Amino acid sequence: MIQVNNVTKRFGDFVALDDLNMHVETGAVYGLVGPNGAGKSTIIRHLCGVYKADSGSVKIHGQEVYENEKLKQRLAVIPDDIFYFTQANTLDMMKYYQRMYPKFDQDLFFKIADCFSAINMKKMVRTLSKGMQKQVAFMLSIASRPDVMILDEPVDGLDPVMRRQIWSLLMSDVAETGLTVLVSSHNLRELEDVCDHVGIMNNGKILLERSLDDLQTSITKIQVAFEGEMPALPPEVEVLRKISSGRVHTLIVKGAPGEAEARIGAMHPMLMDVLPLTLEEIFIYELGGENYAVKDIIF
Amino acid sequence: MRSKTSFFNKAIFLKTLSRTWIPTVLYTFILLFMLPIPYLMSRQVSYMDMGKISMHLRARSAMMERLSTTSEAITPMFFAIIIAALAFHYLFSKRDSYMIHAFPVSRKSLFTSNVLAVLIMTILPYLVTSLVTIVASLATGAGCFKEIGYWVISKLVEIIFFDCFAVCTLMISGQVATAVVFYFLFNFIYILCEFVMRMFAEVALFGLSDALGDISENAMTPCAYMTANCHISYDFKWDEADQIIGVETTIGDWKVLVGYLVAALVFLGLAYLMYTKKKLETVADFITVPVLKPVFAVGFSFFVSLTAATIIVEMFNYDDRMSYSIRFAAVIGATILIGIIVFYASQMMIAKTFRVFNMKSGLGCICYTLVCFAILLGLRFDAFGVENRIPKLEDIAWAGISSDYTMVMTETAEIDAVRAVHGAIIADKKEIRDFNQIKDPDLYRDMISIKYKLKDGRTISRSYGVIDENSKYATHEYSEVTDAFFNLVNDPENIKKHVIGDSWDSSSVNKVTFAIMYPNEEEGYYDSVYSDLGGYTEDEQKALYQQVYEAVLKDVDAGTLFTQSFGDTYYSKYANEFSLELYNEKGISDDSTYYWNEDYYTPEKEKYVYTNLSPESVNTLNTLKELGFYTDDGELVTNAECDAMYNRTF
Repeated sequence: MIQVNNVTKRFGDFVALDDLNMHVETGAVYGLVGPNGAGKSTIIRHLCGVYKADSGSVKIHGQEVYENEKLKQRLAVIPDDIFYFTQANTLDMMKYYQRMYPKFDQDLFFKIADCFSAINMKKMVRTLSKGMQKQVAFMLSIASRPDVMILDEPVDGLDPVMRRQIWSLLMSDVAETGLTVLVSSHNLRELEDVCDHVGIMNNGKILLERSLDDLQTSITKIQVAFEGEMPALPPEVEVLRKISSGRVHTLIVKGAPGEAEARIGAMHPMLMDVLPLTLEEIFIYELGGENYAVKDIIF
Repeated sequence: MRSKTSFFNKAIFLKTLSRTWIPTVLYTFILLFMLPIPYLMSRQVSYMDMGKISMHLRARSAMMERLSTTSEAITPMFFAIIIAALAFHYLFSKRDSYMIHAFPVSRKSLFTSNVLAVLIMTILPYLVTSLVTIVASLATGAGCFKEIGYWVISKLVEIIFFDCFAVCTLMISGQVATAVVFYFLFNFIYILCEFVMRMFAEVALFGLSDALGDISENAMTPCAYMTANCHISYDFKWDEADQIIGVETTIGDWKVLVGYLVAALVFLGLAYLMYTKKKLETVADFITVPVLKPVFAVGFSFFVSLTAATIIVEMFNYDDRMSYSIRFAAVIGATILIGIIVFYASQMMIAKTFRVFNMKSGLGCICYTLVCFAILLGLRFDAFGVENRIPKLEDIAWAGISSDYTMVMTETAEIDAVRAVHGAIIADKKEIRDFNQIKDPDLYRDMISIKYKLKDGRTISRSYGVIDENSKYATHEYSEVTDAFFNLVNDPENIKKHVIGDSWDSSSVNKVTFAIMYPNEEEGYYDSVYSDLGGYTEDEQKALYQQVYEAVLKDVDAGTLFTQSFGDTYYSKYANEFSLELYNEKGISDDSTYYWNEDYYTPEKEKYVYTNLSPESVNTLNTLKELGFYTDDGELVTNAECDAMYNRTF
């Protein structure tokens, strides 16, 4: 379990993290989203033990991360800008990871390598394409058999096929080993398919932290049409937003979809359809969008 | 709960070894080509023909030559920073630094593993070289094992010191180029600061016009100090037939090595402390240690502005147009003005932005300027006792005074007399310091230099410009200065003891040289023809020379020879060359060489004493004439006549 409690980090006069709290359950795939400059990379560097918080605590499995060698052996990190030693090829890097991570699984490494047959293992990693370098990073990290994996913009700059391949690899590992994954991105669309928990960050704070299930049962999109004017809705139905086009009305209603459907259905509409909400829409309607600069993330 | 971490990480250690092996191998070859290989190739001293000597002596000499020429500390200084920078390269790139520190390795493991790798990779070339040298020495019978042992130990201490110093310096900046510049700068920071202060003193302070001459390396300049004090040297022993019969060797100071080893540990401790406290967000910052930022800003501003101000003022003062006070005011003004500019420039370097003009830096600048102004004002009014300093009598080993001749006093009363002259000069400093403002082309000027060697080994030197004691500008106060000076240096006993030599009364004369002058109108000068006492036996000549020497001593007693004055004595003196070659079996002292220039050596048995005779040196002139060195007074030519001849022709 990742526990970040009241963490503040200043760079000179600039407050990068402002009394931030974040909690990730064991086995969760947690998506950390936020606009550029929100503080995503900064909190990730705290979670990796690179930065030391000015105040507050950063714990994984109940232990402080900073300067904790043993704990970090159970942690794999893929930063947005991956580091490889000059002159090192994939096999050299594997040997390095083997020495660093006691649970490193060489067989698994070569098994994953078979999936990425385009990678020349004897070629310097720094000379590989960006996508291939990301693949190598995933191969090394997954083969390290971590309990927690921290990914900062892991598929940024990759083509859609490569993205799908990498996410698929990661998700199969989550399913098999119960790996906890924290992944940061500024793109909600990308996270929707893989995350079960989401935290949204802005100005060094977590604005909202919830499971996707909770979010999806807390808001409903219903399209209705009535004969004549639309009657007044019962007070139990809390409409967040209403868009009308002729006699067709699109309602964003707070609450579970079944409950809202039953109440509106009792009003005998001419047409009623309950539509799925995307993660982007949920955040817009839940947070009010512009008040939290969320639209910068979504659009 | 915090898990225990080790001090060593094999992965990091091996990775650092793999990063540094190429320079290590190259450096090993350099050392091999500096020491054992050239020794094995020639096996004789490169710069001289040693004649017929034994193979052992030849090999020993050659080995000592190699050990001696590879004793300098400059190459380890360079090698250490190369290896250390390669080992800690990741501290200068955000990407590398973040990733390395995200790995499961603590900072103490990273630090110790890297330092261990650095030490091994820098020590290895010396161990290999010494091993090969020992084998070469054994194979060729050169011996020198004590010297080779000292060489390898001194080299190991040097490289360990520079390794630790380099690692410590690398922790100070987040930019690799800046860190390397800091490393070299810190190696010479003390001597550079001293140079700046002495340059300023030369231009601005009274009596310190030769301040730069006294600059010397000390322990704060490790590269130069270790080279000078951990040096292996050798000298040949010769027999009567000028044949080499042995080689005497000298090794450096063990205490210096111990001192630097302790310093290395201190630097290593500091480096460890800085590394474990290092905030990684400071990667790529100019200075990463917060407390050093103001130190850099203030130090850099002060020394750069003082240097620039001193040079600018000296440029404008090329013909001594400025009085002491104006010169000092100009230096203060320029230092303050340039200092403000440099202060903000340093803030820009630290903050990596031009936007540094805010309240905080403004207050810092004001504080710096006030302190700088206070220090310079303090120097102007000698609050630090630099200009007015006369060392205590009990602290002085010897005191020297020099103008036309150099006299060095070692006895208490004599030293006190030098102090009295110095005291008189300082008492009249307001007048003497602005003698350069008297723009009278007919005024004769001279210099008095005073030097103290203190018992703690330090040297204090002062030089003062003086004017003709008989000129219209000489005041009553100034006469007190000149009286004190002339009473000391024109005292016949002091002249005999310090100008001729301490064993003047027991010395004989090997030779007297006197030149007769014949005019050469075409060339514009007088031809010199040396007189000799032809027709006499060697013993007869020596007896005649002794007569000349006795006449010289009579003139000294009469105050007509070797006396000094700041006025026009040059033109009235004869240009005829006159010298005595004195001889004393027990040796005869030379104050100028032995003390003043600090070229310590065993006094020679022979000494040449030169002087220009004047018409008042009647005893000497009469004796020379009587003995036939010259026959006619027309053969005596004054310097004024020489100049007149030159001016007529050209």
